[in-house]
Amino acid sequence: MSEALIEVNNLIKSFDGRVVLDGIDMSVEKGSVFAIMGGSGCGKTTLLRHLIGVLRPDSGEIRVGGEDITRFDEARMDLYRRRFGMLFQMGALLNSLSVRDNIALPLREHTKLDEKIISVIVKMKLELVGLRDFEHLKPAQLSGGMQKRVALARALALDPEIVFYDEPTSGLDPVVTGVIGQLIQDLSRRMGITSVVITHDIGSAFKIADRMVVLFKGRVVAGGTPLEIQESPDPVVQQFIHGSPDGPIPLRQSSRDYLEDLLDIE
Amino acid sequence: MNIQVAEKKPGVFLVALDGDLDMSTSPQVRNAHLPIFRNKKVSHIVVDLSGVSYIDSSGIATFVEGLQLSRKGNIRFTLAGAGETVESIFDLAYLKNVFEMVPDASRLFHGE
Repeated sequence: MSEALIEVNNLIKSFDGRVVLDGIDMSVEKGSVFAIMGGSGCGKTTLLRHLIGVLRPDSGEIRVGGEDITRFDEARMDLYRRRFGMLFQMGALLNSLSVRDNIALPLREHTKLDEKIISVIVKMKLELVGLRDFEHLKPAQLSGGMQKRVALARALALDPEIVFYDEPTSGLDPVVTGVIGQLIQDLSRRMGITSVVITHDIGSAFKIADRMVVLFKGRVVAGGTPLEIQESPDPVVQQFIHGSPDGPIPLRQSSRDYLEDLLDIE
Repeated sequence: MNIQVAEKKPGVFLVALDGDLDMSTSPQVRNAHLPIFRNKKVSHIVVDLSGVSYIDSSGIATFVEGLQLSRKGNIRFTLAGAGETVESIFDLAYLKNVFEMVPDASRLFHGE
């Protein structure tokens, strides 16, 4: 492993007085696969939105390649956004466009490359995800797993150094989950892409991640290699890993007292 | 990106590149080498990559287009002097073996 590419230091964010990120610290090494895990409402999606520069924190910093992106103005943020690709949870492919045009879209928007060159790049990216023969089809003609792979090819279109994955295996069967996991690992191992995977799919994260953190109530409760996480004595981590209904992770997310809430109805 | 084009022998052109070959600079390379491929008198084009420290997908795609044109025009197309990093990027794109690659452009013009 080499140096840290992404460093998050004491990141804090509140919405309407409710603390969602409560002092997040983490470090992602260049070329590694890093998983951010946690149950619903733990803050992982909010953390992702900070990492991609959509949200600004109340305090703390996010250093990417040594530069604090939380202080970037819009022009610098645009340049930063060119450095990463994003695989959205639902793929976010445009159904009216062919596979080819979906992948070509960022190249047409952000570069002045000739259409012939774009066509070659589209084929190269589809080869990387094993779908070169499908470029003329529309997303609706593909399975869910194939759509994810096309979305990944699109995320790779501009040769990003970082790819953020938002729940990349949600809704996929175990075999396709394995294929997507293998692709994420290959891209990091072969091409040196730094992969940050937001997931609640523990099995997949343990298989592909070099390091991971577990979030709970906006805090990192455990961080380390998959083995270190598995051996963590933290009850939150153990409950999360084993999917147990009993433990510190509450069944109910509401913070207000139930009776108080009922009596408040006018 | 600095691009130097020279006819080293009748019909044999050397395109020497200096700088990173990425999405902002690869159109310049394309503009420089397309007219050479269209020149009916050309028999061999050598691209000297010894001054290129990084190449991205658009750079590779530019050479793939060059390869297409070379096959159509029966022109020999050689990539020379690729450093380890550049060569590994061709390899990652599964395209290292489709190009004629030689370690040093000067050997092509002065013999071994």
